[in-house]
Amino acid sequence: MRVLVTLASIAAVLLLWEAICASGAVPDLLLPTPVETFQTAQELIAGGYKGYSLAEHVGFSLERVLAGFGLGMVAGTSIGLIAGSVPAVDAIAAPFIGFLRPLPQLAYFVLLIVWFGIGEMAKITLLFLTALPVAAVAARDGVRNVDQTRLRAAQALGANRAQIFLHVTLPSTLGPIFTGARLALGITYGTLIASEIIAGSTGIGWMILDAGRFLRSDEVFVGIAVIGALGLVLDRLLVAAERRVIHWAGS
Amino acid sequence: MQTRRLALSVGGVLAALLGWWALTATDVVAPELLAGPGAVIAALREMLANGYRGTTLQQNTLATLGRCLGGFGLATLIGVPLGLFMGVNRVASAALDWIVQVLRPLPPLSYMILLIVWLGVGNASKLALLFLTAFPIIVSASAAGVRGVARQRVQAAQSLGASDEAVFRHVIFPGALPQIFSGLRIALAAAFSTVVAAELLAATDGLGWMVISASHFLRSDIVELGIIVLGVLGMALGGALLALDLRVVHWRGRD
Repeated sequence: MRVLVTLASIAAVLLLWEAICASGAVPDLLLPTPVETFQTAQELIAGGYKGYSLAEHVGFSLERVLAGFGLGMVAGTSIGLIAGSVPAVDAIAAPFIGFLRPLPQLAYFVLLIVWFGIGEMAKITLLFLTALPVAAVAARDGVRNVDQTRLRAAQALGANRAQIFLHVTLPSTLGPIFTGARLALGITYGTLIASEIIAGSTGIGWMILDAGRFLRSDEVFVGIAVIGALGLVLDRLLVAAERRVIHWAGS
Repeated sequence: MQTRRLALSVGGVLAALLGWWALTATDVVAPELLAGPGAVIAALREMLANGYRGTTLQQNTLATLGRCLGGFGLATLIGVPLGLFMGVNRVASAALDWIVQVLRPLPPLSYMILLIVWLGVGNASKLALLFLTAFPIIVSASAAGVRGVARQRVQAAQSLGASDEAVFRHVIFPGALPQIFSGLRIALAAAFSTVVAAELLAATDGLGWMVISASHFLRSDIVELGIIVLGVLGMALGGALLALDLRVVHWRGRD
């Protein structure tokens, strides 16, 4: 029942889209037909976009987001784990993390471009700084919320600080760290697309900006679909990794 | 303990400010790359009095806040009722949820291009962009909030003779409120990030416009001022919504 209604709704939207195009109410330049969009997708997959194949553009974007996200996760999680265990470190780090986290990422991107130019360095630093505070807050809160009875049990059994951290705190914190990682990946991915649109010459974000300049709405549509699909794939991969790492979840 | 923590926090910030000052005062880095605290304060005075290319800091701040809160407000007005409706009505949920789930993971800037092509570079495309940024987050949170209400509570109210309307008003809506507020907070943060990105791309006022335009002339003092103002605004917006959340959902965490 539910599936049928959803399918009917999707069909209705596609039909409406086709009908709007067929009626001529909206110029083709602004809204391509569903069939045209599908054909453009095939052309882009076969012929690429401006010197690079579609896969290469996706590859450029992936490299950037994975480098920035990876480095930001490592640094942020380390800071968060230490801040969660040592109150003095938390007191020093908190104002900076608190300022960086709600700061619109693209604002400091401008300064990074002045410093590093519009190449990869500025983008990867931007994505690093985007992921870092999200990862740090998740890890710190994770450490703080570790079940006290488990900590006391380990202490009572004679575990030293290193053992408690390795065998109690860290495993209990993995869940929140992964939750933070999913959030960070989503934000980092969005920031990547924005940075490619504002200052890029390759990548899928740049591709839709460039296509938009030439009023190629069909190519923009395909680009948006690729961006959405890639975002979903990245998120699913992270969820799969979480299931593998935290194999005891729910038990 | 609290005073020690405060001292460490303030000390850390002061040390960073001192480092910033030392770095710029000793001419280790060129002022075009990093302006010092003194230059930023001078820029603040100038921006408040004369403005950047004719637009004062107050006007730019209002322009950015107006766009952000306009799109967010519209998304709240439409998104919360729609999400609540999707939560209680399974047909509506089946028909509309896929649209929200397609829209939700899309980076807003990706469809900004399309909105500019359709609506022009003015405020209409920005308002639409910010609406679309906040809307799917708010709808999903509201619908999830309704679905998360404990079944026993609804059944208890029904067995005590409450009408559908009374069940909704006194059980379902209050039960969904904590999730709705969590969604609103995420949506506002997302809209605030997006408004600045949109202003970098296409605007003639606003803090994002000020920052990118100043960077073209290597006015790092104005760029840094813009970043600081945006950071403070971001914290203030998040703090204000959190305060409202704690006031309205005063039972949060004691359920």
